[in-house]
Amino acid sequence: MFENSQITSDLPDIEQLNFLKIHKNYLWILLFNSALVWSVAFIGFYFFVAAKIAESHQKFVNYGYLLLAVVCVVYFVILIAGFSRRKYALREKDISYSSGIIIEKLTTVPFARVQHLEVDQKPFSRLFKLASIQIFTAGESNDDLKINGIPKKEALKIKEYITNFINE
Amino acid sequence: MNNSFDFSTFSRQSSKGIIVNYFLIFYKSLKSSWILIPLLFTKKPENFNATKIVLGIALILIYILIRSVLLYLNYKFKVKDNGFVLKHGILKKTNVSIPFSKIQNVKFKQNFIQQLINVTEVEIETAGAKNVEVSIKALTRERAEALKEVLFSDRVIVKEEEIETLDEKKATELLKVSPLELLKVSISENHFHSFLLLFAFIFSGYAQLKDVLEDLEINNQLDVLVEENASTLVQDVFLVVILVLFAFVISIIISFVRTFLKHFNLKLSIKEKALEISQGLITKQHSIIKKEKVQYLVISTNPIKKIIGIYNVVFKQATSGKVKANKIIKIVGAKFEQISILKNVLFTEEISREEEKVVPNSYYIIQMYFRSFLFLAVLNLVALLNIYILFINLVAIPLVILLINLKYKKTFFRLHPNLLEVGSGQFSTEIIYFEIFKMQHIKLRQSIFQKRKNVADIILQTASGKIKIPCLDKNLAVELYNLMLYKTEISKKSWM
Repeated sequence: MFENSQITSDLPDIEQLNFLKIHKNYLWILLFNSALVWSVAFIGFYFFVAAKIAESHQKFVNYGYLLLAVVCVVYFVILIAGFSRRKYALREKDISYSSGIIIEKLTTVPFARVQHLEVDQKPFSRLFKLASIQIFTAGESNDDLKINGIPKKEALKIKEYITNFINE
Repeated sequence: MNNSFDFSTFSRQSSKGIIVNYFLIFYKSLKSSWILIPLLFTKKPENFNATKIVLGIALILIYILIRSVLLYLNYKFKVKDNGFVLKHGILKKTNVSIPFSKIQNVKFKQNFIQQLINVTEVEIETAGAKNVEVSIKALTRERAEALKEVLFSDRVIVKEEEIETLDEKKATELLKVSPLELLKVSISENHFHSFLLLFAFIFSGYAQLKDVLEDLEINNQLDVLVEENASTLVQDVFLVVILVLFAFVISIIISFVRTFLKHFNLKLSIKEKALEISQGLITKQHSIIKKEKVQYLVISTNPIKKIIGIYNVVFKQATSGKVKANKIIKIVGAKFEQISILKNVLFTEEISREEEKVVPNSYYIIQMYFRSFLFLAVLNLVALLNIYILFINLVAIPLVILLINLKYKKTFFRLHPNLLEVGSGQFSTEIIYFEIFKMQHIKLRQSIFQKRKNVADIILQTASGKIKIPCLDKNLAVELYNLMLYKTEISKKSWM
C-alpha cells in the first residue's frame, strides 16, 4: 500500500518476533490476588447488602449472589485463558509486550525513548523470585509498558541492557 | 547581544516587583476568602464596630505588604554554567536550576497592573512541570529581552562558526491578525457546544423560576394572562424558540469576548531557531517556542472557517499529565499560505499531496454504528421512565448518523518520508502533522470483533498525548507499525 514498499518489506517485522512467555508461577500469584479481591467483594456484599435487606428482599439477595458469582467465574476464565497471551520480546533496539484476550494489545518501546525504568518485587512475587519491570517514556505515563511476572534475574538483565543502551 | 545586563551573579527583579506581588497576594486572598465577606454584614448594626473592621483590614493590608516585600527580597536568580538558577521562598527555601537545553519555551506576560507600571513577567517552562516552573514577576522590558537572549544562548555556543549569520537572524513576521479578522474568527467559531450548555443552563433556570413562581402563587395570574392568548403548548414552543435565539446570541458574544481577550493583536514571527508569538488584550502573552520542541502541529478548521479560508493552529509541546488550557499555545486566523510556510519552517521537508491517502477499513463505520447503537439503547432504557424522552430519538438518530458519516469521511492518514499526517474530525476538520522520529512508543490494538474482520487500531504515544489511527487493515497496520519503529530507531535526532 505504501509507495516505499521496497524498504518496508525489508524492515524488521514485529510479526516475526520470538515472544517469550512470562513465568508460569505468576499465574498462581494472579489467582491468589484475585481470590483475595473476590473474597473481599463477597464478604462486603454479605455484611453491607445481604445482612441488611435479607428479611425484606430475600429474592434480591439471591440474585445478587448469583450475579456476583457469574461475574467472578467469567473473570477467572478470562484471567486464566488470557494468561498465555502475556508475552514479551526483546530486540536489539526495542522491547515489546503483548497481552489481552478480548482486546489484544501489542506495545513496543524503542530504547532510545526510555526515560527511566523500574524493577520491583511485590511480597508474593518474592516468594517465587519473580519481578516486574516498568518502562517509562515521556508523555502521559499511565500507559507505558509494564511486564509482570518475569524471573528477577531476567528483569535485572533487561534493565542492565536498556540502561547501557541509554547511556551510550 | 545585549551586554548591559549581568546575570552571572544573583540579582533580584525590578523593585516594582513588590507592587506586582502585593496585588497578586491581595487578589489571591480575596479570591479565597470572598465567601466570608457577607459574614461581616450578617451582624446586627449595633454590633457593627467600624473601627474594628477598619483596623482588621489595615492589619491584613500591612501583612500583605510585608509578605510581598519579603517575597521580593527572597527571589533571586542568576545564570550559571549554561543553566538558570533560582532561589526563592521566605520560610521554605527552594533552589531551582534548569539547564538551558531543557527549557521548552520562554513567555513574556503582562497583566493589567504590569502594564500600568511597565514591567514584564517572564515565565520559563520545561517539559516536566504541570505548572509554570519559574515565573519572574517584574522585569523591565530590556532586561527581560536580555535574559531571553541569554537563555537561548546555548545555540550560539554550539554553532560558533555561524556567528555572522546569527547577527542577521532578524525575526521575520509571518502572521498578524487584525481586529476585523479576529471578528471573523470568533463568529465562525463552533458555537454548538457553548450553545448547548447555555441552553441547558437557561432552560433549567426557567424551570426553577417556574417553580419559584408557583410557590409564590403568582403563577395563577400569569397562567390566566397567557391562556387568554394561546394554549400552553404554543406558549412553550414560543418560549423555547426565544430561549434558543437568546442562547445563540449569548454564545456568540461569549466566544467573541474570549477570542478577543486571548488573541487580540496576535503576531507570529519566525526567528532562525524559534517561533515568537504575542497575543492578548488584558494579559499580553509573548511566547517563544524552540522549533525542535514542538512535538506536533494540529491544524483545524470548520466548514464556515474553510469558506473564509482561516485555520487554527495548535503547537503541541511535551508535557507530563494533563495540560492546563492556558499553557496550550494556539493561534487563530491563519491563512493557508501562512500555514504552508509554517510547516516548511518547522519540518524542513516539503509536504507533497502526492502521497497516497490511506483511509480506514469500512469496518470502522460498522464499529461506530454498533457503539452508538449501544449508547442509544441505554438512552431509550431511560426513556421507559418518561415516555416523552423517546422524542429525543427524533433528533439523536439523524445526528448520530450524520456524525458517524462525517467522522468516517474525515479519518485518514498519509505517510510522508519523515512525517505522518493524520486527519480526523466531525463538523470540524483536524489535521495533525507529526514527525515520525518523535514517537515515544507505539501500540497495536485489536478487539475480538476487529480480529474477525482482520483490522486493528494503531495508537501512537507522543510526548504530548496520543494520536489514534483506527481500524486499519491488519497487514497495513503492521506495516505502519514496523515502519514507524524503524524510522524512530535509526533517527539520531533528539526528540526535544
